[in-house]
Amino acid sequence: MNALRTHQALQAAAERRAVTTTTRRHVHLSSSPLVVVGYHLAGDPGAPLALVWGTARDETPHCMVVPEPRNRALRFEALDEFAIDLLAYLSRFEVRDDGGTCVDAPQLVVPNAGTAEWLGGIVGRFTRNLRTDGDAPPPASVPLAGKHLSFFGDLLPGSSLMIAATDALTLHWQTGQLPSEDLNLAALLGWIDPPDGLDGPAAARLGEQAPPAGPDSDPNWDADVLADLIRSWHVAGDDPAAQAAVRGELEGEIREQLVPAWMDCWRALDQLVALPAGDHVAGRWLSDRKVWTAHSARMAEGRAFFRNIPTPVQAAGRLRFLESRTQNLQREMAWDDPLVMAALVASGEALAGRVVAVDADRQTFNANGRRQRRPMITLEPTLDFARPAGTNLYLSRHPSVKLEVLPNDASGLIRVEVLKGANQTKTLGLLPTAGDEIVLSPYGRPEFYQRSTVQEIPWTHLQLVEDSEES
Amino acid sequence: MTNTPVTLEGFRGEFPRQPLNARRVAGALEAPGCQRRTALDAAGVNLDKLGSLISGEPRDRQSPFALTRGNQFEQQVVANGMAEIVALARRHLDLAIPEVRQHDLSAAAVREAYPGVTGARMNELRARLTRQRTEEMLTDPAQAYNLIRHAMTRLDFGGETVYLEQDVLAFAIDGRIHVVEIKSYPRIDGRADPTKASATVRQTAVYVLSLQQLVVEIGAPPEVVKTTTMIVLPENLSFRPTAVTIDIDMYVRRLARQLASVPRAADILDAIPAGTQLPAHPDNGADNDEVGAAATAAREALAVLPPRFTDGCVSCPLFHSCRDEAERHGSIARLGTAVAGACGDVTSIAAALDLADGRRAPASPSEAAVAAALARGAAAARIATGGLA
Repeated sequence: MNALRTHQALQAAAERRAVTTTTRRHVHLSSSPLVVVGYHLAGDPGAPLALVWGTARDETPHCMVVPEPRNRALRFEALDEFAIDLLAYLSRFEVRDDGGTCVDAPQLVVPNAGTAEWLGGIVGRFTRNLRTDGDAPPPASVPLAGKHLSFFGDLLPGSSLMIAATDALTLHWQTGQLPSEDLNLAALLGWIDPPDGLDGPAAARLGEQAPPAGPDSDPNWDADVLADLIRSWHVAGDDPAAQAAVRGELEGEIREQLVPAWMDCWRALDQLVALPAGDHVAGRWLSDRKVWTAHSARMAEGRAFFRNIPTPVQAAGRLRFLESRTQNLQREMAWDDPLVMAALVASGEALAGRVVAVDADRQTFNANGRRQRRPMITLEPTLDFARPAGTNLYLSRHPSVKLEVLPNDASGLIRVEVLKGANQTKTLGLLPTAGDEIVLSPYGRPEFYQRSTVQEIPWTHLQLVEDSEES
Repeated sequence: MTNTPVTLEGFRGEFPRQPLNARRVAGALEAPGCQRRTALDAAGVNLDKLGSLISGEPRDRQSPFALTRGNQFEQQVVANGMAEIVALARRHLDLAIPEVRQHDLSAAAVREAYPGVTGARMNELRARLTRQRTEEMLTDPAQAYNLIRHAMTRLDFGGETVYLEQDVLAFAIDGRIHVVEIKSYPRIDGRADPTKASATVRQTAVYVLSLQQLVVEIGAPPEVVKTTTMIVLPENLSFRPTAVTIDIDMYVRRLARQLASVPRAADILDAIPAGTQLPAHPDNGADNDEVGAAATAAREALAVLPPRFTDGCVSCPLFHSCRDEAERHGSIARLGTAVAGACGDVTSIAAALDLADGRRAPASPSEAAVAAALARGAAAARIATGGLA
């Protein structure tokens, strides 16, 4: 918790309303997202109970219910409904541009990370490899949708193909409640956008009264409503009229439980769309489109395979890739957003200040005694900067300009010299001029060359022998 | 009002009891230093009922579906004379189990053998039987029962002895005792839900520790109870059991430390006014006035016990009322452990903001440090939103 975030939390509590922690939006928002909410049977994530989904907020969302979630045939029959709609939605994003990249990519919006994990990690994981040729096969759409869900369940940091509303909102707002309370979408929205006449905490309490957004249902509702309905489904036996009646009743109850959460997802999107997008959001969406294109090509060729358990080398390589993508995301967010950069200034990693003087023609001698141009910038720091001489910083406006902090004198001014990026005639223009307010950040351009791939199992991923002897 | 000190029994009064189990001990330790929770736990107060009484909300039951599934799984793995468990133990704990002699010490089984024993005497009896069986296990391993279920052990909690019903199995082979825990959340592709897994490990540590204390009482070294425990989970979405062995030594030692630092319940009660007592829980048919009066009385009784609000409180049945209290007092603890930690010994939101904005001069070096850090954060935000990039 950095000092800025702490102060924002205190402020939110005092003002009784969430405080924005960004000035920009750091996620891409699609013009036609697919919003999905759902429940599984308590204690049994492999038994979906209901899904509610739709692409337009003013239309009644679709709703699928499984009257006996533990019945495999009923489960597939219901999942088929969702799968057909999902496949139809995804097929709208097959149009490619001249370069072969899809011109737009789909976007799934779910209320929380739990739902995202459940859809990708459980529903996708356990339907993607179903065989459709054996006894009592599932509909062909189900394993196809399972593969797509597995794809959406395994995305990179900074991807906007799947948005978990609570994660996206906590990235942009700080509330005055416990971090674990932020996982409740309705309560979180109460802090961010309280209805008229209520303050944040009161609206959050109101949100807590709403049925849960899934994937776990309210245990009291399970006991009071669902148990009876499942019982009446068994009583109905093979009578189609009675079955239809139970289904209708269950659907009504499910809509009452899940449609508020589905609407809350749209409210979350409304909150986000009001923020102007950061400059790098489009770039990240382009890479999302490329990832989507690759996936849809693999699906078309029937080559979309997913490993249940990655090999150690795959896991290590994946981890390395995720780390570099996470760093990239942090870098880009800081460049795009002064308020995100401010957190680094507050923690002392970045330096904010006013340029006092710029000596563009300064020359030093290198180790070989040759002259080299090392322009020097003198800054008056706005907040104390205590990093030692030799610390490398980069101009936040031009991250290609690498600087080094020089030993400071008693004046309180900070002197930095340019190591690269603005020490040649054509790049000198990137230097700031006296009087500019600038920020020097610890974030330079990422390495251009890819680091070597993981070839051998690193020690972190060595597997212990399963039945190791006890000492 | 008398001047006699408040006893735990006196404090609980007519309020329903709920004996401690490992889950509750582990839960109590998630809210370290909370005197309110310690006193209620040591007195064996039914927290769920108390929580729903003072917050006026129905208590969260466990979903019947989750219960059914958990029971189904447990029945399946213990069916056929624990064939599955024995096979898993042979493989994962590397035990040569030539023959299984099992013994059930659950309340129902003991009641059959000793009719007429009830209440606290039942607990004592079960604890005594557990001790006997364990002693036999260690002294005569060839003849004694080597698998006991639902043992009853004792644990010292805040200076009070609490009875603990173990829902684990204890295997004794070659004079060593292994603990086996059965859980019903799935292990998917070799990986279980980390939150649930860590809760399981903490609960199992409670059992291991109390068993260790038992064998020490008997006169055997505590290492007789192995800290390598086996956890049985369903594999993927099926009911097929799979097992993982974990050495929870670290958790057992941490638990022992935590238990040693639990404030003594007697000391807590000494500090509260004489005559403080929880009300009787209203009957099912009680009208609103009666429930309201009981709720007020309960809140008054609790008010004298200082709470400590942290991130871990979410799982406590009293969460809603303690949260309201923290909010009423404008306490920084309301914002979570991370913020509270960053604010050091400044405990009120208003005071922290006053320090940050310079409306109040810091009274101590630690306040000065908090003030400097917060002021820096606020200044950085001001510069950033002032149009600086």
